Amino acid sequence: MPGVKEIPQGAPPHLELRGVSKALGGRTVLDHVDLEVAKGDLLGLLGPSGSGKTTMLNIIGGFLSPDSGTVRIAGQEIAGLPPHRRDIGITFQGYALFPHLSVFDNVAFGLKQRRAPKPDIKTRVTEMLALLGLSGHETKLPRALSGGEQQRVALARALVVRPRLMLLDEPLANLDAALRHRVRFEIRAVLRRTQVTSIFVTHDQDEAFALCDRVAVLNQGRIQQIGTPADLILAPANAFVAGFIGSPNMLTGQAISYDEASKRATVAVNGFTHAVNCKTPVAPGTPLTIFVRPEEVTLSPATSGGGPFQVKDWVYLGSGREIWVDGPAALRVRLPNDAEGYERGERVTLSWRPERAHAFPADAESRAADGHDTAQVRR
Amino acid sequence: MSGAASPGKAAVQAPRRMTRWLIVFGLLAPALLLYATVYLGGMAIIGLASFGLGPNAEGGATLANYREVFASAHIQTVVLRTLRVSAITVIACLVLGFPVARYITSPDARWRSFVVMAVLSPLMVSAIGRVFGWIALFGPGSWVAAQTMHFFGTRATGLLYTEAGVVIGLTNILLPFMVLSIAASRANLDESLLKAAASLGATPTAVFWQVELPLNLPGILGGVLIVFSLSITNFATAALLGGSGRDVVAYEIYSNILTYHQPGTGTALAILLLVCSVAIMMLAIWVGRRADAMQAARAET
Repeated sequence: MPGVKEIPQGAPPHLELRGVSKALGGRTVLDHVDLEVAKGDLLGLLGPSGSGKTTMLNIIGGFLSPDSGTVRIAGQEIAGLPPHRRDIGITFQGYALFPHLSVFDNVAFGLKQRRAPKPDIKTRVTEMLALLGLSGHETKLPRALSGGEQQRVALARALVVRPRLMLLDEPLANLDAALRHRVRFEIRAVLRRTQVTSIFVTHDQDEAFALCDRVAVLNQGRIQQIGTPADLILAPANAFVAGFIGSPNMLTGQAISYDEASKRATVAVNGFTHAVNCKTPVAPGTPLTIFVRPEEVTLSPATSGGGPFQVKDWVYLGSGREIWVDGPAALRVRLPNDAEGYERGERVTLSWRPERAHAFPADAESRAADGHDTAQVRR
Repeated sequence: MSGAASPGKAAVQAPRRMTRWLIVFGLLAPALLLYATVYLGGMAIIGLASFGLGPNAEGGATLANYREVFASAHIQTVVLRTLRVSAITVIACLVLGFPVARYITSPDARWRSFVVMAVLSPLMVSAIGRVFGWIALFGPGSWVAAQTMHFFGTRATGLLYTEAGVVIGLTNILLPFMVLSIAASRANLDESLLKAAASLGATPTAVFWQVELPLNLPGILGGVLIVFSLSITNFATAALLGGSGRDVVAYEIYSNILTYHQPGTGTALAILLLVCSVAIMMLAIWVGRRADAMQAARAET
């Protein structure tokens, strides 16, 4: 092991994927994926179902081999290594606890494979169970535990061997909503404390944002964007990311004018005009797809005679009052819970801060629409 | 339907429940009748005969038949041979059947249908037809006979009329039961358990012994019991392939009753064989329940 090389300045990424492609059953599932994860980082891998997340996980874990490209851990190519020699901890969606083994034996499994001395096993398992608040459950079988406890056993079992990398596959998917929020922070805390480099696979952006420092958005086998949650929300790289993150309104319109300096375009949506952010220069008349999140839209009562939009209906959604307006386009608008007014039938005008609406030329629309639909379906 | 609240409706429902019960009973009755007359009736007559009772019996109840069975050195040999042949058959079915069950339950088995058909095919041929095929295959003058004589220096009959021949024949027809039993228990084996074990550093061998095999135990146990009870009661294969001097319990019953006209010994042996099979079944159920109970008890602590 080149242990010395990986420490100081310009250290190579702990995990590195270069040009990884994989086709399954004639369909390209991963398409030249590049990914770097620094040591100790917690990276979210976010994408709709069928985007290639699971395939990527299987390739890193060693259960599938890539058709092309390289996978390195700490600079070492691992393509030829079978799963049991990769030293990668994995938690599975259904936890995959061994049903015939007690909690203690489940957690001790990896240490026994490494032929650790018995007293060592005892100490480390006991410590790990304590860290995850599972002390006292040692002799129980997995099925006697609640979902949250099973989740923590799975985490303990993977972490106790001190793997070089942790892969967490939808760790919260099988938990009920209330538990999910708590376990989310428990997982984050434990991964921080153990300082293990981790990849967290999920289709749920709230989870990815809550748990991870950086998030890679995957769609149709390609990494669409890698960045902090703020990057993804405030500066989406393309129409897919803009449509996938934050469940935005999607409008179609045309460019009226474009200002190179500010990278702003003025767009017309069925006669309603507004300024939006647009990274690519567009000629007047270019069809655009515009994404704006419900909470970025502000409403104001129409002055004399009535604005272009009309309130169709509204609902409380817990995090705010959502107002559905119709007019040149149909939009959802999120207001605080205590926002008053805006009754059904009321005429309104609406606006947003130009930098918070993102327009992309509509030639990329087919892909954006795909992602948008998927984002809608899972809500 | 929450009709129980009003007394009127409850009164209407009582006869309805009666009709439903009658329908259920009516549908079960033919099968029950068949078992009651043919199986229980037949066994009752054999049971009575074994104690010197029943139609055409002279004298009173006696244990003489059982005493004779236990005293006979010949019968002891036959019983031991039956147990030995059955035990080897079980092991052979397990060793041959496990990989087959593993293959047909693997998610990417391309030849699954073909393999399933091949495994089940012995069940689609009549026992007698199959056995005559084997006689041609294993018997004197056959290629197999020539080879076994050449390599092992066995007698000129080849594998026919040897215990090995019986074991091979039994393994052939009983393998499907082992394969199906193990395959059924594998159907709900979670693939991610095997991946999890590998990710924790378990070599493929360790995954097999520590995860896969323990989780398949119910299916293995079921297969072992089915194959064992079918082999100790088997008649046709052993009788035709084993030949004289290598007979098994079922054949001994047959020859005692029909050839030597000694129904007393034959029926006593038949009853003992029945008791043995039932005992094995009960043991299996008990072991299964006990394993479950132990797991449940551990789960509760």
